[in-house]
This record gives sequence, C-alpha cells and structure tokens, in this order.
Amino acid sequence: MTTVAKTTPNSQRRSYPSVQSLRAWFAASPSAFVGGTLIILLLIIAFSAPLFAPYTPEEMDFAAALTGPSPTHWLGTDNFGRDVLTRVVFGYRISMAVALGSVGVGLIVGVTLGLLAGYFGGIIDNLIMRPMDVLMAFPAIVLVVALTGFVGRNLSIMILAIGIVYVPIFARVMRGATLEIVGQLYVEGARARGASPLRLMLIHVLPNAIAPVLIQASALMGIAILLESGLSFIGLGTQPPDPSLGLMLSEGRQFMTDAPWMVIVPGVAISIAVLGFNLLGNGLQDTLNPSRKGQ
Amino acid sequence: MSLLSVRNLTTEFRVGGQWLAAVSNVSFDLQPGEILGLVGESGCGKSTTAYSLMELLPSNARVANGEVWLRDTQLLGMGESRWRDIRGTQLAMIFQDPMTALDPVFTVGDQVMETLREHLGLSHKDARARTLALFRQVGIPAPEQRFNAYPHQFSGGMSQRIALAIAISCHPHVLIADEPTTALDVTIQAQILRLIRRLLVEGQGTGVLLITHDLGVVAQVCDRVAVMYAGEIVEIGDVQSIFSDPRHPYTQALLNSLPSRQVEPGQLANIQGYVPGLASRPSGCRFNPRCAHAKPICSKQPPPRIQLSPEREVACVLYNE
Repeated sequence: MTTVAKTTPNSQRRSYPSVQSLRAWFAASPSAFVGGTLIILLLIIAFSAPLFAPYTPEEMDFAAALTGPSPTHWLGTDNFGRDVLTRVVFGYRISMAVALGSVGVGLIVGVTLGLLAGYFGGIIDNLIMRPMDVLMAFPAIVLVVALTGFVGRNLSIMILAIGIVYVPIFARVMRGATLEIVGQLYVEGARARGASPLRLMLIHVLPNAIAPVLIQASALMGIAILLESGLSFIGLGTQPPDPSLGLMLSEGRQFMTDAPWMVIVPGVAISIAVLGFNLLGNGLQDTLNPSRKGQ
Repeated sequence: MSLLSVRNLTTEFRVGGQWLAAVSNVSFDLQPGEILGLVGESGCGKSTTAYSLMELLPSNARVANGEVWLRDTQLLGMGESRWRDIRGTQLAMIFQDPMTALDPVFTVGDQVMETLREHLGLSHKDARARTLALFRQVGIPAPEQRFNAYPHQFSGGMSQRIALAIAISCHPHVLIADEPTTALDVTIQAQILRLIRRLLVEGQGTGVLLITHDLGVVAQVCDRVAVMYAGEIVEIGDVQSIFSDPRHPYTQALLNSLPSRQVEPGQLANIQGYVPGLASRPSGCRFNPRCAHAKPICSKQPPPRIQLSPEREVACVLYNE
C-alpha cells in the first residue's frame, strides 16, 4: 500500500489546467513540457499566420530584394523582395497541416488495422499484416514520388501519400502493443465478466496499448515535416509561389552566398518544429505511463 | 439438482501438431452455498479445468468432450453471444494475481461500475452508489476516496478485494476462484477467504470452485475437495473425511508431505519423481510410476472409479471389492 496514504481526493484530475498542474506536468517530464509548449506555439503561429505576419507571403518589394535582416524585414528578404519571416510563418502552416494530416491518416488506418490484427491473430493477422509488410518494403520517398506523379501535385495528395507510408508503421507498433496487452490478465478478466470483443478492444486493449503508438506519432510528425520539405525541395511538393519551408530552402540555394538568411531561416524553422515533436515524443514515454498518473 | 454439474470434461492442447489431453474425464458437482476445493500440483490441469468451464481457453486448446450444466443449461458450445450474458452474471471468476487482474488505466471505481452498468443497466449514479456499497462490503476503507484511485495505488490484498467486489457485483450463481490467495500473505489470505465465505456462500448462496495447491486453504474454507493428478480427479469427498482418512495413495502422499509442527526435525516427506508431462503420461493409472502401492495391473488399465460412500469416490484399484 505504498501511495494510498498520500492519495488526495482525485477531483482535481478532471479540472482545468492550473498553474499547479502545469508545474506537475513539467516536473513529471520536462521534455514533454518543452516539446508540447513548442508545438502549441507553432500551431498557434501557423493557424493564425495572417495576424502574426507583417506582410502577405506573395507581397514583393523588388527595391528591397535580397536585403539582410533590418527593422522593416526582421529576417531579411528573398530574391523577389518577399519577407522571409512572413513566408516562414506561412510555411509553418503547410508543414503543420502535412504533419497533422499525414499522421492523422496513418494513425486512424494503422491503429485500426493493428488492433484487429493483434486482437484476432491467425488468418486475420496474416491478411492484414502481409500487405503491410509489402507496403513497408517501399521506400517512403519512392511511394510519395509515385503517388504524386500519378495523381498530381497538391497538398492533400501529399498528405495522403505520406499518410499511406505511415499506415504500416502504425499498424506494426499497434499490433505489437496489442499482442502484449491481449495476454494480460485484466483483459482475460474482462472477458470472464462477459465483455464483447468490441468492448475489449476499445475499452481495455486500446487505451493500454496506445502509448507507444502516440510516441511513434509525434516522431513521425517531425519526419513528415522533413518529408514535405524534401519533396518540395525536389519540386514534387508545394509549388511556387506557395510558401513551404522546403521550397524556401530550395529557392534560397542559389543565393546562399549573397543571402544566407534565405536558407538559414527556413532550415532553423524546420529544425525547431522537428525538435518540438521529438521532445514531445520522448516526454510522452514518461507521462503516458499510467503508474505515474495522479502522483 | 446440482448448481453446477461437470461431466466427463476433456480438454486438449495442441502440441506440435497433435492434440494432447490436459484434463481427462473430469466429473464433479457443485451445490449452492458450497465451496469445492480443487487441489493438485502445478500442471495437473486445475486451471485448465476452470478455464474450460468458462470456455475461455487459449486458441491452442479445445474442449474435446464433456458437458457442463449450470442448473438445466448446457454451457459448452453455446456460442459467444449467449456466453456474454452468462459470464459475469451467473459465472464469475477471480484470478491468482490481483495486481495484474485490474486494468491499469481505469480507476478501480470505474472498473466495478463497468460490470454493473453493462450487465444490470444501472445509471451512473446508481452504479456509483452500488460500487461504494460493494467497497464497504469487501472492506475497503474510505471508499469515497479510493473510488478514484488507480490499481497501482493498491496493495495485492486490496486489489483482490476490488476483484472480489467486481465478481460479486452481479450476484453470480457460481464463482470460480483460480488460486485467489496464492499471491497474498497469510493474514490477507485468511481475510479474503473469510470474505468469500461470508459474502458469497453465506450471503448469496453462491457455489464456489476454489482452485488451489494449498491444502491449508482447503482445510480452512472448503466443504468438499477434489484431488487432481495429471489431468484426472483421483479422489473426491468431504474435507473432513479426506483429511482424516485419505484413500488414494496420491492423496495420502500429498497429506503426508505437509510439514507439521509435531514432527521432529529432519527430512520432509516427499513424493518421489515428477508429475509427467502432457506427452509422457503413463498408461493405466497415471500415478502408478510414483505410487508406493503399485501393482502390475496399475500400468495396464485405468483404475476403476469406486464409490466409497455417497459423498466419496476414489479412482484406485486398491479399493476394488
């Protein structure tokens, strides 16, 4: 009976975040706290970009082309005289949409498939997982290139393509976690109390098995941003004049010596987002452990 | 009519392409308000028997033969959807390791409420009140506060009390307790066993099948006992007469190997040899290679079941005529 004595009435558990609970969160996992805060800030910036950005992303000022950081253009301008800060802020929009969208697709489809495969096993497992193995064997970038080549280049195709690449990864992680949880006594116990397979899967297996999947998800969000940047860099992702972090890198390449801020700024912006997701993923490993909840 | 009646239950496991019987021809009856102990060494098929009764066997096992009657309903092979109405409400089960028998991501209160709401269709408010009453019944101090606690905040004994609260919540007719006290220390063991007797057997007239390898537990709470060896019941009868006058050589040896305070220090009595594995069970009487009274016939044909008295049965050739 180690912690029972100090258990406080748990009514705070469902209350709104207070300074106290934020502090508790930080203490439980500084890395989740920093990562989470970073991601939330970036999301706010991305989705309210017009409020933050001093210019519009396509606004050109040829007189000020390729000027360095200055009071009018804090992070300099590009070869068309467009404000780099504005374009990074709008670039985050695309990056975040790709990160959330592709992971969302992968998560929903992959978790469902993995849960079914792990829970039922046998033939169903094989029917689901063998195609996943085939999909997994495709290098991500080739699959995305092929898909965008077939269907065309636009944002939702790119999100879908990266999402499809993610499906087998999520399915595998979910299946593994499910296999472990299905063998647990409390699942057996729930079955002995007459719970239906659907109930067992959704109420008992899913919440217990989801932690590694969420950790994977936050890491894959970072990778999605990198993939989007890479695809835009080679000309298959976002098309000019839309501002994408990868596209900005690609455009800035030719002016690297004259205007280094054109590559440094989007490069650092990508790193910050990826770092945020990775910190969050690391931190989630600690906070999602139920035995640390309520302490 | 018996509450639970098991007839010729045979459960097999698939091992390397062939089916081997882990439980063979097990038959027993359980009356309302009775605790029947099922004792035997590890691997003798006690737990497999329990899981067979609930049809909760792993995918590499099957019930090959036999019937399980709950009053006048045949349970085996009745299909998952009908089973779901029976499990939890008519047949409940508690397990050996209480620490892993509760779902770690839900509060204990939610877990007790789950069954109440699922099976009895209670509203959230009623289920909560019932849960708190159950907590009080099973002896959880400060139930309102513990309601929102997570299983990891509970000790083994407290967790087993919660498991018991879940098991009794829907007034089951039969409770199958698979080594419910093995993981607990002795004082807690006694408390849990007393709870089972007071709440279920005396309170609700539940029949309890208590699986254990602890003869002390059997002597303490059981009314009758069935002794299992290598997948078969070798002797069954009321606790008093089996403990005072064991007939089957295995029961005798088992009781003989209990350390007691009267005996002078020295070597403890034991039974020579090992329990045979599933694939290497001897022919005839399965105990014959380890039996002190074995005769040539013992290895040739299975022993007859001999009714010694209305309550006692033994499977041994020694009592023929």
